[in-house]
Amino acid sequence: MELNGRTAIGFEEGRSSSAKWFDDLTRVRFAGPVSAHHRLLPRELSPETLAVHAGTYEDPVTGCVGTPVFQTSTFLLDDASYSAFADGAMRDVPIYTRYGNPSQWAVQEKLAALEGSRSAIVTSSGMSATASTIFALTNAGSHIISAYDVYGGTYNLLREDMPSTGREVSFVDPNDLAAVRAAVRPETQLLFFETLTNPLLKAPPIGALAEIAREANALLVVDNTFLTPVNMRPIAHGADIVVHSATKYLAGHSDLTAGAVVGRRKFLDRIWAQTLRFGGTLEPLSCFLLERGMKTLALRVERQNANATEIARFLATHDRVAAVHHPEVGGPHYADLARDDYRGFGGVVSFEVRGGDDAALAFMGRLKIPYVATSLGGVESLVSMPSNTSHSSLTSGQRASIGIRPGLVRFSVGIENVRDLIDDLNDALNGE
Amino acid sequence: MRNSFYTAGFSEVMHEVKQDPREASYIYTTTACNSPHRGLSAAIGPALFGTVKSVRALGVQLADSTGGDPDGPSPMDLALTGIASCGVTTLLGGGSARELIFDGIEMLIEYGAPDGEPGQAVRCRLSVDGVTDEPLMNELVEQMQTYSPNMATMIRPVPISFDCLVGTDESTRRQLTVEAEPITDRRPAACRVRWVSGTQLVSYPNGRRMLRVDQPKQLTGVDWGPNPQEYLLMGLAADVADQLGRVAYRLTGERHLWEVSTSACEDMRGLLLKERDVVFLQGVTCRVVVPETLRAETGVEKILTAALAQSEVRDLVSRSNPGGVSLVLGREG
Repeated sequence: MELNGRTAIGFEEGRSSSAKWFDDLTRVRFAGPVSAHHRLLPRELSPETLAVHAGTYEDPVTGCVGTPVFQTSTFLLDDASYSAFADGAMRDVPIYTRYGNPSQWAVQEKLAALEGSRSAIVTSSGMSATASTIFALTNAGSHIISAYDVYGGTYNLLREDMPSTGREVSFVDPNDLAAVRAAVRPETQLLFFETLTNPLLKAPPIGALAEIAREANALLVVDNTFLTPVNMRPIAHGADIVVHSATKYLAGHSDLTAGAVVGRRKFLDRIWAQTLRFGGTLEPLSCFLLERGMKTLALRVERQNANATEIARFLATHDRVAAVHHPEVGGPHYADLARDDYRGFGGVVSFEVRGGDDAALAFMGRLKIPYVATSLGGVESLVSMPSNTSHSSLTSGQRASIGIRPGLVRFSVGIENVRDLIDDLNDALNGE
Repeated sequence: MRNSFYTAGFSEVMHEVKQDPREASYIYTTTACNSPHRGLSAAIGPALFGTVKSVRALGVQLADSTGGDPDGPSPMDLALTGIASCGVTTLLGGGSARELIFDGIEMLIEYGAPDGEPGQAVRCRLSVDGVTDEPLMNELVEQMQTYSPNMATMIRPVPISFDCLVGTDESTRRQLTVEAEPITDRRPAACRVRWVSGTQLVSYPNGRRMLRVDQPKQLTGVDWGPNPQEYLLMGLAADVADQLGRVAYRLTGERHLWEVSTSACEDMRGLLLKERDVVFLQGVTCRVVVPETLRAETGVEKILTAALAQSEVRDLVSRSNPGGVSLVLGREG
């Protein structure tokens, strides 16, 4: 069987058998990996267009519209495969799905385009993406700075796995730039923050954090799960790497578990190799589902931005609600918010029900439309309490210190009719 | 990967350096500490590879000239390990670029060999197994001697800038001038540096503890040990610290804590793009922290002058040592 056009763009140009020294080698670090069959689009196009078209595998055999599911664990070996093994370029030839698969390349290219970057990898979960990124970009002996209210899974990774692997972590308030700057040491190698925090929706200044990282010769990694590239492209603000729990908005239908990393290929190749060793590959059917879900990302997020804003404003006026956390209703977290950096703030609204956790639990039980479930970013509204789910491992004192007060509810607003959601919330808050 | 060497990665770095000269500047830092209680040790500090930082917690406990830890390697062993491992890695990379498959590479590097040529400080014998094309190997060895940053640093005189300060008082910082005769009464040292896989090598100093060499993972290695440039700089820092402790004790009868730090830049355009003017280490600096416990009247200047003059690694780096490399093809012994 003759295999044509399946290698990544640039791979053939990088094969050089006549080199006499390093300067004769011809492989350059380029975008991708992406083959000539994957649709490449300029990053300047709107997110709506990129979400639909970027990365799609245009099958030269069938002409099908949309990426086929390359449901295989392995690929035929040929001269290109052997050359890739010999030179260490295995990311650029489909050899084995753990290394790479056209289904992965399609959705990776779509995500890279949306984030305004040139390379991405998809992984088996958001935590796989985060863990692979942190381990790949730091050495034993290094120092990491992160937020004390970072997502619980990330916090556990940083707190429980970093010390035993020789990395020290300092936890700071991500909005307190003086504290971030004061935490920098000569060994600081990586800053890890979220573009919008969970569950209190703090919005740290990404550009200022990038400046601190640059001055320290450190890398800034940001988790853009809550905003998505529709609302912010952190790389344009100076971040080096963007990670996602693609399970949430990117996939958007609460039907798969996936993660993603986006950035320069120089770093992505190392993260890819780490993901291989951790076994965090995303299998092809999930790639298909993720890519299909992302086609409607811009539409969904636009609706979720609007729904969440309207709900936040409604909740801010309700006498059974003690506090609302959302940038559109303001508050001390948002005093210095650079609103021009955001197209919206996503679909999460956090609020405190008067009466504490018991009252909040009863309120959730009265809701008729949202599901009481953890996770967020799907088309359906979900509601949960951080105190007994994502932040249950913290002591009550730790929860209080990061601002999670009794009665806090995290509402992930879906794409339903917002009047239906508000009526349901109103009834449940009023005890009906 | 051929020889477990990431040829594609080095090609990518080479093109990156071509496009952006800022990425060519690799900066290394090392420290050495000569403690009255804990003996002589050296460690690497954060390194910067272009715009990417690497931080590895790697160090080594050393034998010192007063007899502490006799099984530990000496400062000269570190320097020789740095020179030989750089040569072997350069040879391996160049050979891998030519698609050669090596079964084994080993370099014996000797300093002050009793049977050496008069005036020759260092001699190297390279054994290569698995490649039988002698003219090709001779060409590669020539390239290795020309473009290996540490071998070039050994072969040509490389200036070292010395300064000192007292404790942490920056206002006391001042330059030091070294005016010393070439060292001719050399203490012999030798290391057998053997390639293991990819950028990993082991160095066996004569009868002393083995040293592991590797590139950082930011540069295709796996952090298995300090890299060749870091070994050479650790050797310089440790030798100066050792001499300071020895001379100070001889002159004052007291033992003090001496801390020495070194840094240098490796311009990758030398190795990767064959720009000969920048192959050797650039901007080598060595800073001595004078112990606050050392009283001025005890002759600080005399201690510093004598210690720097008697440092054999300092002498090796700062003078021309045009020692040749002999090549043996096939497995030795």
